[in-house]
Amino acid sequence: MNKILIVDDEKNILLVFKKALQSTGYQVSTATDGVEALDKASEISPDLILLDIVLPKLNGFMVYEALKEEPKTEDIPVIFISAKSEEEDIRKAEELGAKDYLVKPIKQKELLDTVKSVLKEGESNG
Amino acid sequence: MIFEDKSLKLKIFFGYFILIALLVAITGWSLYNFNNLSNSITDIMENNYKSIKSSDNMVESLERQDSGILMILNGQIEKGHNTFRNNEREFYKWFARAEDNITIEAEKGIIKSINEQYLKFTKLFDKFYQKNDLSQRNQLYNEKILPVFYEVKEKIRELRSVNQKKMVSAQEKANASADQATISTLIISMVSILMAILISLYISNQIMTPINKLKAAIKEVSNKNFKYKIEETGSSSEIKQLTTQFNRMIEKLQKYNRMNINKLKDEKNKSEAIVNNINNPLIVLDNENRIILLNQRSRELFDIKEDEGNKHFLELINNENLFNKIKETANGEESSGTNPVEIKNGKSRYYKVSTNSITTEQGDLKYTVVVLENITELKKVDDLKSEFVSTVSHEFRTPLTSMNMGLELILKENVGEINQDQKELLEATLEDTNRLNELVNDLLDLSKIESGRVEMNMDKTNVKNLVEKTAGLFEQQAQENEIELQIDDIPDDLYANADPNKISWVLSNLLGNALRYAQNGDYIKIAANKKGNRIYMSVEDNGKGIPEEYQDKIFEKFVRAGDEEEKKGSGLGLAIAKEIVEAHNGSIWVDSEEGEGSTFTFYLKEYK
Repeated sequence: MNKILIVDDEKNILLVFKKALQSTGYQVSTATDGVEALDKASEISPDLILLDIVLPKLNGFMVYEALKEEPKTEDIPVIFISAKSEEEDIRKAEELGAKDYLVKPIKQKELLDTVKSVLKEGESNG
Repeated sequence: MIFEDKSLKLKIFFGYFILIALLVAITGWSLYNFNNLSNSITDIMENNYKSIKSSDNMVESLERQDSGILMILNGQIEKGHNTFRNNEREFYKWFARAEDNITIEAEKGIIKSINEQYLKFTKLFDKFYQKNDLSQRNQLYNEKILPVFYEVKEKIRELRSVNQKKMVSAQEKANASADQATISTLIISMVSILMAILISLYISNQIMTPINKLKAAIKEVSNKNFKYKIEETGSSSEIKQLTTQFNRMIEKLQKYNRMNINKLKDEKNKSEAIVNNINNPLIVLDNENRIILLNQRSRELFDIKEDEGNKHFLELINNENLFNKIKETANGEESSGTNPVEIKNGKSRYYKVSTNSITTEQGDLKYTVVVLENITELKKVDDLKSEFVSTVSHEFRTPLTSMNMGLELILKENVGEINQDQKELLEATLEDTNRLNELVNDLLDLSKIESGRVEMNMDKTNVKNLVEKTAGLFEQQAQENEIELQIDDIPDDLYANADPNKISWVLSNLLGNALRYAQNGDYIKIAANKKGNRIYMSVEDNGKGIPEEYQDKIFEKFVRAGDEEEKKGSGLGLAIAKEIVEAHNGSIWVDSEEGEGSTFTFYLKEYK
């Protein structure tokens, strides 16, 4: 069973994402700020992180860079989630090496399909 | 002058009259002189010649009488006597003639003494004839008769000489008068010629002087010196009239000219006042981009002093952006005001540039009128609005995501069963959540494009591929609704300079709209073709059409044609399409007739 870490400061988002992913059979953990996200990531070693960009304490990009610096977490694929659809942000996410970039509003099908394909890619690689 | 105020015609007539009079006088004088000469000759012939002839005949008769006497002395007494008597009669005949023809005082005395001596001569002959003795006769002849004979002969000769002298003097007199006549005729002729020349000069002067004045005046007037005036001292009434009329004409011309100048000045002042009072900066350029007019606002905006005109635009206004914008707008490469230009003068302001080309009749560019509209405030408000819309939309996104996903989770019964009523209500809620989603997405797209934050990735774009790919996305939907989706023949080598994703979006939007309003059996036709260096693309349908009052508005935000019930979509699609097409320096419009259908057309630049 794949473990997924969702990082978002919006509790409602965390709730629906969690329910949606759980109903598909994933094991879900959540974090509400950047520091907690880094702690949870090293603690549970998830197979995938859904990372919001606008976060308290550390923003999503900083969290991503920190994850990549830590050998234990550097291989975890990351999907960015954001309400910002600026091309600049999307480009930055691409440059950093994120697996995908989901722009809110996100529909259930879109979320599940993306998660599924990123995990599948990870499995076939590793 | 006696001719003062006389008409020119009269003057010319007078001149010729004088010449004719002179000619008549010369002729008369010559005739008079000829007559005098002829009279003198006649006098000589008639008077003196007669006297001379008489004298000669008298001498002849006297000689013959002397011969008669000599005959008697030779014995031929009878014959000599007859000769003497015959010639006595002859002598008296000629003597009578001479006596009748006394013309000179001296003649009288001579005639008288001739008469006395001749009487003496005839009386002595009588005495001689009565003598019978030859010696006595001889004695008488030699002593008495012969001296008297010589005396008479001498007197007759004297008469002849007197007359002869008279003849000579008469001839001399005639000669003198002929000479005099020649001289006087010559003098009169010369005077006449001189007078004729003077009169001709005078008349021609009378005509030419005013004509020359007129000539000079016309030259002056044609050089627009309307203050010129001809002195009205014209010497004849025609010239005077002409001068008066001419001066009147100049006055009228001057008035007319002044009126025109004043009118032009008024118009110019009016135009300048209008131009200067136009609240927008206004610049007029000639075809070589030199500034020929700036209004007050422009001077203020660009810090230009009053007298700095006629320089090249960039020399005077160091703003290359603005200059390029003006060129693009004037060349029709960009519709006016698509993107405002920033002009900094202390603080930064934004101006919308619109140009108007003034061409000659041949269609050559003569002037470009540039009007700048300060839209700084508008832009601020617009920026604020975009920012607000963007912020609000962003804030909508997160709650929309959880609402949407939560509803979906419940509806899919992932979190427990729901009954039919609950399901219907939740479905309605989900539908509207989706609509809200769409609206937020469109709003964000639009505000991004409007604020220029979306880059157009212009590239060589194959039109046929683009159309086919985009249309493909709608094929299934069209089939389901039994709508015929046609694609016109599009050449394979038609390339547009465009951002393929954005133009595909525009086409999708147009197709989506057409499908949304189409009914079973309708058709939708996509066409693309090239005209000049533009590529026109169109989406045609035979649907309900768009009411005329909406045709201009449908490209504005939140405008939808049709009934309340039919409102589907965000109402922003065409506004976004318009923004995209205009960002490509193109244009989009609709031709529609209610009940017949609509054709949406836009054009792009051909790729070169």
